[in-house]
Amino acid sequence: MSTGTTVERSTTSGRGAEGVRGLGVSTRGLVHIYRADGHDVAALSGVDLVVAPGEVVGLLGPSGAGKSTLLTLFGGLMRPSAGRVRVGEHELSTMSEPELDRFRAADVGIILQGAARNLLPYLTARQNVEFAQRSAVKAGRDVPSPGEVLELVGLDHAATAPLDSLPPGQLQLAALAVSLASRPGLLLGDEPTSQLHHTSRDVVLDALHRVNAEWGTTIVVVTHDPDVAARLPRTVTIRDGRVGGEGRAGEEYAVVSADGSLPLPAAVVEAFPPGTLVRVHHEDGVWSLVREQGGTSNG
Amino acid sequence: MWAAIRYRRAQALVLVLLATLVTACATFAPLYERALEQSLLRKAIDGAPVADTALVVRGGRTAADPLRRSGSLGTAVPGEVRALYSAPVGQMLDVIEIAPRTGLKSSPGRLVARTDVCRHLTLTSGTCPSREGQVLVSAKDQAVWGWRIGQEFQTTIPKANGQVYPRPPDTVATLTVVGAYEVKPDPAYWLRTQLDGKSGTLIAVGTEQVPGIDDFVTTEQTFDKRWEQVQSSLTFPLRRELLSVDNLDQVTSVLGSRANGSAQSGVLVESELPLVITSVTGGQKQLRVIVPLLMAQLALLAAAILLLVAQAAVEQRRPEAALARLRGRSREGAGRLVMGELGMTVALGLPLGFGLAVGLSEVVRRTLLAPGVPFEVPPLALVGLGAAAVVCALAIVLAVRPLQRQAISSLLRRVAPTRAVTFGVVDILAVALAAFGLVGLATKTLTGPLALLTPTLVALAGGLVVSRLAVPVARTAGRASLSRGRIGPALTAFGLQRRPAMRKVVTVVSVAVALTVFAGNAVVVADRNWTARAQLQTGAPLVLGTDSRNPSALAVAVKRIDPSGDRATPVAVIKQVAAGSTPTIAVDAQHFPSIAYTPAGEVLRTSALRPPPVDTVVLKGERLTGRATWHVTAESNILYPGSTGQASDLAPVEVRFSVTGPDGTPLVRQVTTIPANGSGSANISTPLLCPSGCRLNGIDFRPTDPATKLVSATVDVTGLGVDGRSLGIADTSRWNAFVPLSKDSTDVLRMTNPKPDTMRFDVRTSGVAVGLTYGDVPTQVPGLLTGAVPPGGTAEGFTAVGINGVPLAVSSAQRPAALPVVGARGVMLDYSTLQRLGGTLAPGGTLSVWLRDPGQADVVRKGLADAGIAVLRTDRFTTAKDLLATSGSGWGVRLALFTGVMSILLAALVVIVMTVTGWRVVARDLAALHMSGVRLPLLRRALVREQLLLVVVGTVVGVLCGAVSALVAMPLLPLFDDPSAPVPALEITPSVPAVLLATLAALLVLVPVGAMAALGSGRRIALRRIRESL
Repeated sequence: MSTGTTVERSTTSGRGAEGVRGLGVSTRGLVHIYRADGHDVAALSGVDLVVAPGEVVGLLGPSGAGKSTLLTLFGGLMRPSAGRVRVGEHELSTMSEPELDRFRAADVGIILQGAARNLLPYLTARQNVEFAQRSAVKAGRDVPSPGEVLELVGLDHAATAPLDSLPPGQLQLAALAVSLASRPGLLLGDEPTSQLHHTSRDVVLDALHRVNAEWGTTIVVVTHDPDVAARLPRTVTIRDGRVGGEGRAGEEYAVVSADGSLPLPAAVVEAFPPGTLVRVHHEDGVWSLVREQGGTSNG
Repeated sequence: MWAAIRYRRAQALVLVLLATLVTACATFAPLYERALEQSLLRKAIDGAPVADTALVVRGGRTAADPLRRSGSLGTAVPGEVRALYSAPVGQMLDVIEIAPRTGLKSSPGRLVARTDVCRHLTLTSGTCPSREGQVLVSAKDQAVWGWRIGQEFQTTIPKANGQVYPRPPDTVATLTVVGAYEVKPDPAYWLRTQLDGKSGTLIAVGTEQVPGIDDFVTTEQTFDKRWEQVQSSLTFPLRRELLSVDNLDQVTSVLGSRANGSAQSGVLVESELPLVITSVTGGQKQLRVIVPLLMAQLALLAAAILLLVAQAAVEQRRPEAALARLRGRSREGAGRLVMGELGMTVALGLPLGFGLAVGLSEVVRRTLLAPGVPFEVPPLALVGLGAAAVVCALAIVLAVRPLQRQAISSLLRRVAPTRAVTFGVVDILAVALAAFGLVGLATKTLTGPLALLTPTLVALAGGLVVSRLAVPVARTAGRASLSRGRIGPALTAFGLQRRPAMRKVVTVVSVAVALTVFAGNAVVVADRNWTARAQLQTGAPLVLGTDSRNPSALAVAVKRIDPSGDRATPVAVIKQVAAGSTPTIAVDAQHFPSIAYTPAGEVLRTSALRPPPVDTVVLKGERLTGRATWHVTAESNILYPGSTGQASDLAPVEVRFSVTGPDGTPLVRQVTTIPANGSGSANISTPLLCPSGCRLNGIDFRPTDPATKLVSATVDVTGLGVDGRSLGIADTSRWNAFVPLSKDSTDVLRMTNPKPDTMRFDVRTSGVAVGLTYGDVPTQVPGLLTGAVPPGGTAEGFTAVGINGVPLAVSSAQRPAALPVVGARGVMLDYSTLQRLGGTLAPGGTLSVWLRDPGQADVVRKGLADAGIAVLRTDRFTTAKDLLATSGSGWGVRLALFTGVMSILLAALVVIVMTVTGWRVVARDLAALHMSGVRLPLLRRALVREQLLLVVVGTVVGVLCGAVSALVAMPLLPLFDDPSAPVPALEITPSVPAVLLATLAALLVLVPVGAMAALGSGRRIALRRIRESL
């Protein structure tokens, strides 16, 4: 297996043999509040994000930042408290429950954290794929054969083996195959490589990139793993329920949100502590931040 | 689906088992009830004589049908029941008069023609009659009278108009002997007809006795038109195998309506079958109460457990439902996925349960019930199967519904959202229903299904409430233990507080134990009442009914067999024909208590019955002798023309002995007469006229002149005796006190003993006889009276019939609720006291010997036989009790044992299931504590303690609820087939030993099961559990 090849493929994301099939994702002012211990907690407090069709994006950020919440909103598993989520032509925030069911059946594949949570333990990998295809078939969607799906993720040799006989890496591939069973336009993965050995992790990542390359599927994964992030062409850092920055090809960027605010990278925040008065200069096409000496917002 | 079922084999097995039990309960009830009803029917029918179950059509000849023969009666049989009977036996019968020998008076006899009669006779000579006028005579008559074949008898043919005047001349028929017969015993053919048995006996005809002759057997042709009084009958033996509980009602209604006649003129359709059926329907009615009462509760428990287990199973399938939704299935679709798997699993239990119920009923049918009960699957069993299917499906649907209501995000969480610990609708509903049921039962206003389910509802409410209240208690206890540093008890308490299994286990164990306690108590209470009834019915462990008519002879024979009187005792029972009369039971007051059973709850004061210590005086000889000295004054009334009104003219005063003859007949014997006025003395020498001896009953003074107004006398009688031998009766203590005829009476008779062997009587009478009775029998015999005081009497004084049938004055020494044999109405008197009155046994009376030890029966039988007394019947307490225990009610109550055992097994199953379904979570929780440093043995002990506490709390609640249910719901359980007021009164106080035994049995099963289950979970506490994700 060649990492270089994978990277090469990822750079050509969304352009498989059958053309772009991925679904774009966009959010605007996305807010999600949940209730815990009698208090309202804002998991997301205004996320503006656009993922292009066929793109591979990693969601990064500390625990509790709202990555998984964002992912579940993308998957139509929850409804946002405010704002909009659009996946392809679907505006998820206004869809009825049966529409959301059909959306999950055909347009989105979700990998939950922990491979076993994605699989019916008493079925083989092939049977799990077949199980996952039923709703899509019922909804009138053409679905690939289970063998094709399993071959794509590289699990065709273990298609009929009992799940409890598979090693963790193959189990995760099986989970991936199940999420791809209906050939969705969007694949969402919550820590798809967690609890895996390096080798297995790479196998899974290879499979993800292969899916993206061959089917053009848009892929959004949550990860804590820097190595995994390094292999993704685009990463979005979620911090305190908002988009905190982006990384593209190893470069870190701050992202201006829809309301014009700009979360500064951590290193910049150290230089400009909260409350610091900053003057924005534009000179020769370059915007500069100039700290006002001794000035604070409250003083 | 099969893969899913196979994946959780143990759980599937439990679900299948529960569905099997629910189905078995629902279907076994109708199967068992049906088999029992058939058994009761078979027992009643097979135990009844063939004649009792046969259908008889009778008819005489009428003007409209002057040649009626038996065959023509067949049309009168109701078509609805004809198929139940086999080919009929026809009979024609009329009376004849036969002079057995020339010169002898005619003896009455019968001329009988019967279908195929010669096939049921042994012809000792001659041939079967085939022509008109030919007859067979009995071989015995032939031998006795020397009748020969070809001999002819002339008999008068009875006339219908024999009472008309002038009487028409007799018509005479000639009967020719063509052979002689002996009867082949065949009850199925002969039914109630008996041809022989009269030969060699004497029968009374008017004031004369003539020799009896057996029936003459002939053909129907003999009964030509002249026999206008001949009675025809057609008897249809019942094809017993065709009579079923299904056609009982039809048979009863058809035969009952035809009993008094038929469409045919002068034809009567009769059958005793409705009476036999009545005894069966009584048992049927009771079964239809008991079986549902017991089985419905068990089915309810099984259904509730099925629901609980299904809930646990559904809880385990949350990840699968979440996956289904994740892959696009709707809420309903995800629910259907789980329902399909669980539904298929429980569906497997339906045929198994049905098979189990059929198998169980088959075992009961083959081993316990009466022979001849057919194998049947009544429609109600299929209804039960359907109901079980509905209940199982409902349990699954109810368990899955909460899953369907949850959002996908909720399903994705590892544990379901926690529920409030406050009282829910189910708790409040259960408490309300239980309270309603309890109040309804206590006030006897509740009937129907809710009444039957009240015991279960009470336990359900108890279990739910206690398990709710236990949560804060456990929390408080846990905090207290933790603050004192007691980790183990704190872990136990917090475990109880946190785990939902607690509610389920406590509730189920409560219901199961309550049912077991109720069932165990029901069996013991029923047995107690059957024992009491059987003891009352038989009176003693063994009762030998004799043919003796002589109370004294029996008493002597029994005394010879058992001089101590502690093993066998004579008893006389005299029942009168009149309805509402008070029967008498005469017992040996001294020995009776050591041999006979005492009616339940009674202490019979038999000591009050003992005879006075005065020996009976028997007068036997030629003449009464002695000397009388008197001083008499009298006053007279002028009562009739010619009467002078002078006292000196009054007729003398009689001094008389009242005696009883050898047969107990009251007699009077004159001792002497004394003038109505004046003084004097005279020797007594009066014929006794008691050749067989008389018992001295008393002495009286009777003015013989109707004009007597007042007599005052002092009479000394010295040396009163028989044939010069003094009777030695002068001691005043040997005589009863004088009892005037009425309270207002001024009559007096006082006896003193001025010198040895002299009785001085101070008499004052207003013209009536005044007397004293001898003290061997009290003036009023003390008795124990049960039931109403006989008409015309009071408890202090009433009349009862003695052994000899003679009425005697009795005073009540005690009013017990019941007496042996006579039941709720009767009087118990002393045998030896009544024996002193003499006489033979009154008609309607029986003399029997009661034995304490049934093993002595043969010895006593032989002893009685040696005394010339035969034993006619033997009644055993055990037989009487078996009869009650195998009645419809008996079999029904026995079902309680089944429900008790099944309840405990179900509870044990729940304990196991709750452990199996929750062990991963428990093991993971405790593994986390282990990682924090808590020692494994401590964790395991806490787990065992937690499980045992659940079982014990549930058991305690169950015992209390079961005891309450036993108290209020036992009256619902009919213990006897006979619906009339039970005697002795029912004693349905809960049996403490039964309750304790049922509790112990429950604990012996549930504690080890709980401990083993907890140990199993405890063994799985390991650090690797923390990493488990599914």
